[in-house]
Amino acid sequence: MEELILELKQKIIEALNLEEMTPEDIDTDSPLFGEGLGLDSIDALELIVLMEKNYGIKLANPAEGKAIFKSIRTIAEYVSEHRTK
Amino acid sequence: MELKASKILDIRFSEVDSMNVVWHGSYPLYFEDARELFGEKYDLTYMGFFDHGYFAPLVELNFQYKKPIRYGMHPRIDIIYRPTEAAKIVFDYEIHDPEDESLIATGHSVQVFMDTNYQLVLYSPPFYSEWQKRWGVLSLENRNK
Repeated sequence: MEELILELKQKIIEALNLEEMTPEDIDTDSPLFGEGLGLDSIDALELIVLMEKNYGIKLANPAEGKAIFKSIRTIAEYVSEHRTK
Repeated sequence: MELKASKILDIRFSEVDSMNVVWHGSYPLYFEDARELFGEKYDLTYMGFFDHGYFAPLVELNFQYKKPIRYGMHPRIDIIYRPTEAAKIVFDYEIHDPEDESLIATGHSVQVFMDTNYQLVLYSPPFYSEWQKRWGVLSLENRNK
């Protein structure tokens, strides 16, 4: 799980061009949206691509997104459970 | 292949400000004209979005003003489609003076898809994915990232 968490942080930094950030700067349990990392719904569109491309995950219901993208840890838990690649 | 459209801008007198140059706030309309032209050329029109049940609002629009446009000039705007796998429509813009090809301004815009309930659409609508396929914009060599 720790490995996946680090990988997710790296991929999010890359997908969102957060060039000045390192994985250490992103707290695993902090909120990604609003406070915390301060992402917005437009950033979520890049996370959607990241999930599909790297892990073969397509969210069936957009409403799930909110719960899944809450923090790095919630994404990691969802990915490890649902990944198809 | 790169999808690109160009047109010569007709500068209206009302677009010029008291410094006798085109007011910065006129540029968004030039960009919009360019998007409409692009849409007609490549079949990606606002009415097409509506017909499929979507809106495509702008969520990002920026400008770099390099050189003034004066009344009487006939600058050329180029609009270039930037492919992305995300559910977005991304364009870059360049305005040149055809007299000497000097660069007048550059810009960038991002549009997303919204359904008719004003909710953000997370995955590219099927008609847009098909459009991207039709023009081959997501082939490997053309991929933005």
